Amino acid sequence: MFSKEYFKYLFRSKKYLLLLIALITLMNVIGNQSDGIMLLIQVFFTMVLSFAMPMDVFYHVHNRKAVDTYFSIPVSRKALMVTGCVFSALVTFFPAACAIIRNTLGDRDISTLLLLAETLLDCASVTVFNSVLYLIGNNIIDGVVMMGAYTFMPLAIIGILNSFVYSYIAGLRSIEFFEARLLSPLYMGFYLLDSSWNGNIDYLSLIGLIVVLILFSYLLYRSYVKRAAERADSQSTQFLSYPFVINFYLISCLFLIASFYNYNYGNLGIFVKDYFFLYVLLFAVFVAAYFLYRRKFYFNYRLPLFYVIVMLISLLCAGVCMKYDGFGLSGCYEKAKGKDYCTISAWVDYHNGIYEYVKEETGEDPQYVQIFIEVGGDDASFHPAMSEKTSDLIEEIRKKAIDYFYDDRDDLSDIGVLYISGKDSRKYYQYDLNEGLDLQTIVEFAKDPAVTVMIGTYNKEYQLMTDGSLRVSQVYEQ
Amino acid sequence: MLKINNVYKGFAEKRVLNDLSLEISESSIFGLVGVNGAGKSTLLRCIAGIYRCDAGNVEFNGEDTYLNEQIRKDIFFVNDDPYFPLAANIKSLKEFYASYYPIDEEAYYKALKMFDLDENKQISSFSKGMKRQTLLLFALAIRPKLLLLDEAFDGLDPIVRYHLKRSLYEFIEDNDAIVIISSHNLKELEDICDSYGILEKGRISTYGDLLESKANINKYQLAFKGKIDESFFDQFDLLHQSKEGSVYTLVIKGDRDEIVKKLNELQPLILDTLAVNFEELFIYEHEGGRQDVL
Repeated sequence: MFSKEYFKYLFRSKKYLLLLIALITLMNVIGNQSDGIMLLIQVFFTMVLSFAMPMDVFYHVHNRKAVDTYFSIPVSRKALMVTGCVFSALVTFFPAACAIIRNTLGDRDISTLLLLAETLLDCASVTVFNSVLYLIGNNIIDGVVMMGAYTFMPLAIIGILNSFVYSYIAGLRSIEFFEARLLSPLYMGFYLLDSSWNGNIDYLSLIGLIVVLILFSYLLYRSYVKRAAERADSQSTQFLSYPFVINFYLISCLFLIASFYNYNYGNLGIFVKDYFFLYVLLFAVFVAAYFLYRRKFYFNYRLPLFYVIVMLISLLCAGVCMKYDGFGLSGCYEKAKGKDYCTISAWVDYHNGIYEYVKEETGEDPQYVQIFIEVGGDDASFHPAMSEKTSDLIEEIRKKAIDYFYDDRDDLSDIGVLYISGKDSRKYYQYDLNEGLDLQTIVEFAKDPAVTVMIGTYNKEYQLMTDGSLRVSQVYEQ
Repeated sequence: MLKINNVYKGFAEKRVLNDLSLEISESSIFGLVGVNGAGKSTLLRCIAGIYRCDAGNVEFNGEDTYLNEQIRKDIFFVNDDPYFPLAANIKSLKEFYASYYPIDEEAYYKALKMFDLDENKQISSFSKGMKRQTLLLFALAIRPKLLLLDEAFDGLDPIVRYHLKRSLYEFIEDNDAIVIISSHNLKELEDICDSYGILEKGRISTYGDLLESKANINKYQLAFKGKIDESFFDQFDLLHQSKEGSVYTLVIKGDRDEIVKKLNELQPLILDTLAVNFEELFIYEHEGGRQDVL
C-alpha cells in the first residue's frame, strides 16, 4: 500500500520545492506573530499547498508521456496513490504544524497535540478531496478548472439558497436550517481549528472531516487505481467534469437571477426587460464554457433549448414560491408567546401617525423616525413576563408584514428587525413592519409593564435629534 | 512466453484491437509492423499493462500484466515519446529506475559509453535522439525479460543504430528475453528481427518467422513471345501482378520450385526469380489484405 521507494523519490525530486516551503515556513515562524498578517499568510500558504501538492503529485495522470512511465513501473497504482497522498498531506501539514507549535507552546489553555492532530486530519482530508477534484478532468487545464469549480460550488449553493430565502421567504435573511460548512472540508477545517483554538471541539466538523477522508479516499481509489490510462491529455467528457459543472453553474445563475424577480419587481414584463442583457450575457458565457469543454466552437439547438427551459423553470419556481408564501416556509417561525425577551426595531413611515406625535411632543421635524420596542429581558427573574396581549400584538404586526411581503406592492424595504429570545433559541426576523406599527399599536404595547418603547428621531444626515429618545411613559401618559 | 489472448481494445467509438491473439516465444526479436493508426502503440501499452484490455488479456510467463507490479519487474516499455521529470539528468533517472528495477551496473556503464551521453547534463537539453538513447540506455541496463520498443530506432544516427542492434543481439542471447519492436522503418527491422507480425484492422493478419516468410514470398519476372492467357495466374496465391511491355512481374506466395515449374509450362522467354525484402513483404501482404477487402 505504501511505497518507501516512491516516497524517497518524491522527496528527492522535489527537494527545491521543499526547500522553498521550508524557507517560507521559517520566515513565518520567526516573524512577528502578534501581527495578524503573518497568520493570514500562513493560512493562505497552507491553502495554496493543499491545492498545489495534489496537482504536482498526480500530474502524471494528465500527461500522456508520463502516464506511460508511471503506470508501467513495477509499483502498484494503490501504492502510488497512497504514497502520493501521504507526501502531499505531510508537505501541506508541515508549515501549519510549525506555526501551531510556535503559537501554542507555553500556552496551557490550548492543547498543541490536539491542534496538530486536527490539522493533520484537515490536511489529509483536503488533500484527498482536492486530488479527487483534480482527477475529474482528463488534462491539466481541466483538472485545475474542476478543482476551482467544485471548490466554489458550496459557496454558489449557499449564495443561491440565501438569495432565494431572502427574496421569497418573508422574515428570513438567510438559511438557518442548513449546516453549510458540511459542503466543504476547507470550511470544516476552519471551523474545527477555530473552535479548538477557543478551547472547544466542533464535533460536527471533526466527524465531517473523517467522513470526507474515508469517502474521498474511496473515490480517489476509483478515479486513480481504476483509471483508464488513455484518458491522459484527452477531452474531459465524463459526466462529473464539464457536463455537470457547466449545467450546475448555469442552473445556479438562472435561479439566482430568478430570485431577484420577486423581491425587486413581481412583474415579469419589467423584470425581463431589465434583466434581458444579463440573460444574453449568461448565455454567451454558457456557450463559452462549451468552447472550453470541447476546445472548439460548439453550438447545437439543445443549448438554447436547455437554457430557455431552465430559465422558465427558475421563473416558474419563483412565481410559485411567491404565490404560496415561500412554499409555506414564511409561516414556520418562532412565536413570541412565552419567550423571555423580544425586541422590535423598525424605521417607520409618515402614514402611521408617529411623525405627527413626535412633532407635537418635541417640536422637531424629523426626517426619519425609528421605533424600538423592548419586551421583557434576558434574565426573566428581573423583568415582568410578557403579557398575552403583547405577544398577540407582535404576531399581528408580523402577520401584516408577511401579508404585505406577498401582496402586490410597489416597494419593499427591510426596515424592521424582530428579535425573539427564549431559553433555547435566539431568532432574528427581518420584516417590513411599517404596516403594523402605527401610533395606536405602540400605545397598546406601552400599556404592558414589561414593555419599553423608545422613539428615535433623526435629521437628514441620520443624526439623532432628540437626546436619546422619547420614553414609553410619555406615550402612555397621553 | 508472451501470450496475447483475444484482446479487444477501443477508444470511444473506435475499436483499435479486435480479437487479437498472438504468442511470442523467448529469445526472439519480434517486429510489429502496421500502417499509421493500426494500433501498434496501443498493443504495446496493453502488453506493458498500461492500458486495460476491454476484453481478453495479456499474459507474460503465465501472469496477467495489467495491474500486476510483480510481473512488471520483468517488463520495460520504451515509448515513442519519452517522459522525463523536470530538471532530471541521467543520474537522477538512474536513482528513479533503481528504486524499482535491478540495474546491471556493468551494462549501464557500457551503454552509457556506447551512447556517449553525459550523466550529469539535464535531459531537457538533449536532442530527440539523445532522449530516446537515454531510455534505451535504461532498457539495456535493466535487462528486462520483455522489452517493448515503440518506434525505437527513430531519431537515432546510423552508428548508434548499429551499436544498438548489436547490443540487442547480446541482450537476447544472455537473457532469453523477448524484444518487441514496432517501427515504420522496415529495413531496420529486417536486419534485427527474427519474427514479425503485421497488424491490420485490429488483428495480426500475418505473422511468423521472417526468413521463412521471405522465402515463401518471391517476385517472378517473366516475358513471353506472344499473348498469354492471364487467367493462368489465378491458380497461384498472387499478392501482386503488374505488366510493363511484355514483362510481367508477379509476387506469389508459395513454394518457389513448384511455382517456377508451373510458370515454365507457359514457356516464357525469360523467367527470373527475385527475393523480396521485408518492406516489399509488408507492402504486398498489406495490398493483398486490401484487395481481399475490396
